[in-house]
Amino acid sequence: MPPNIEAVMARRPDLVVLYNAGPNVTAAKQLERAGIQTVLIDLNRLEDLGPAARTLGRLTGRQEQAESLAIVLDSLAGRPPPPSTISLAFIVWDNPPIVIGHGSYLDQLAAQAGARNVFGDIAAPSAQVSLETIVARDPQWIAVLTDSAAMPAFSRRREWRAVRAVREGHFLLLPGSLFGRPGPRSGEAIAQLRARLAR
Amino acid sequence: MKWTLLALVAVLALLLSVVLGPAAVPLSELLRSDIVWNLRAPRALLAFLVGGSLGVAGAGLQALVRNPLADPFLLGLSGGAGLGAVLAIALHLPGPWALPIAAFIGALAALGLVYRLGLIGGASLDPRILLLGGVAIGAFAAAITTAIVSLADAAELRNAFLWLWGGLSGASWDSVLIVALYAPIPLAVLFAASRPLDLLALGEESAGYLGADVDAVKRRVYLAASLLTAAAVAVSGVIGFVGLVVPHIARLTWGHRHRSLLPAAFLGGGALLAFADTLARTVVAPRELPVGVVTALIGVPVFALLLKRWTIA
Repeated sequence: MPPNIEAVMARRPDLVVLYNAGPNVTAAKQLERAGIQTVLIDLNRLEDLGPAARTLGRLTGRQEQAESLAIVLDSLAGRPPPPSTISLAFIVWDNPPIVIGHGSYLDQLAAQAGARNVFGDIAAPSAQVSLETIVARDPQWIAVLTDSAAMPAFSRRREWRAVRAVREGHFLLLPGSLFGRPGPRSGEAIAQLRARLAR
Repeated sequence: MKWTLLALVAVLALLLSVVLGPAAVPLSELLRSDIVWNLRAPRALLAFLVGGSLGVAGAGLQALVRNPLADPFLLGLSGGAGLGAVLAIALHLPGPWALPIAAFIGALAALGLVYRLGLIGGASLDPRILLLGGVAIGAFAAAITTAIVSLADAAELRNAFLWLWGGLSGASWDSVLIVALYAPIPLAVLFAASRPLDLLALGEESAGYLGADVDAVKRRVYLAASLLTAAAVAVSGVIGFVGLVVPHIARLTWGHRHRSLLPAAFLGGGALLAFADTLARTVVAPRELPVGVVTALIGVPVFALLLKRWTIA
């Protein structure tokens, strides 16, 4: 949803930070025209974190602290991934099945945690696949972004029981607030995923 | 000869659906493979049943409203089903069947409203009001759906649209059984209305003079076609094009007599959707195309070809 420009202007912010996508670009132009400092930030992958921290540091006058944070975040993105011993599939939606492919943040997260995304060969951040393909690729774990501790509803659907990891209850229920997007806590997300895979 | 060919095409479409898929299953292991038994076979049968149902529903509705542009989803059912599905997600309704059941209820609610609007001028169902009411109710439901999706926090709500775009990923033996038990009743009602539907083509007044109980036929055909479509949307979302073009293809080949037209639309719709789904699963594997895209890509050239032959003849 694009922001309500009038409501933003009414709060008289010193700085507006927007995710760099579609309708936000128009909103940023409108806010700039209204004299409000606005910045669009790309935040799709681990390597975007360092530059984002530096940009925000510069705009808020905290360059030193931002640089210190950016160095840590850059090292996270530049770290060679450990050898992967475990396979997983990120299921974003079950009907139709949407999975995470190569080039996405979650794919990077899995690699850094020592897991192989079985759909890492799909050259798109997310893609619709058939259930049959998930069965054939046979991931050891099914990772789902959810803020609930309950198993996803599709785990009880008969057709999904054809997937071995679903039958065996091998689900990784990952909280969206920590795993859903790149951020300063990405290192914590990687460590937590690695620990859960090792269990 | 035409019937033999159509039956062969239908069997071939079903066979291809079972033999082909993104996973490599050797022919020698076809009968023992879990992938074939638990995924491909129910999906092929569901595609056939849904495609056939949409074909027959489209043929029935086009005859009822005497409008070649009538489509089963034009009557507000897709909007109602979408609203039901989004509400199921927004309200966190539990259970694996919550979404299809809510979509079915949404479609039935839209059906009820449009039906009530159709009767606004009196006891006789007015086809023009049905069409207009369907478009209006569909737009209204779609607007509420969009408002819920825009204002809600749940990211999965946005994915409800993916479901609504249609597909057969949710196929299982359970869904095949449900449709196989449910669809024969509205299908039988439509097949039984073949003769009065032929008469309706002459106009309501003429059909009445020739012995058709016009009001009863209109009600039966509308309700049966809508109930078929509601079931289809509940198990497979909104798969466009089949209900619009298959009846025309069947009409160009089998003529306007509904006794032949309706079975041809069933077999043709079933074969088209089964074949389209096989292509959707395999052509860009491991990715999958929305099946509605493939039905349009196959159906439009076939339709254009038949239309050209028919115009020349």
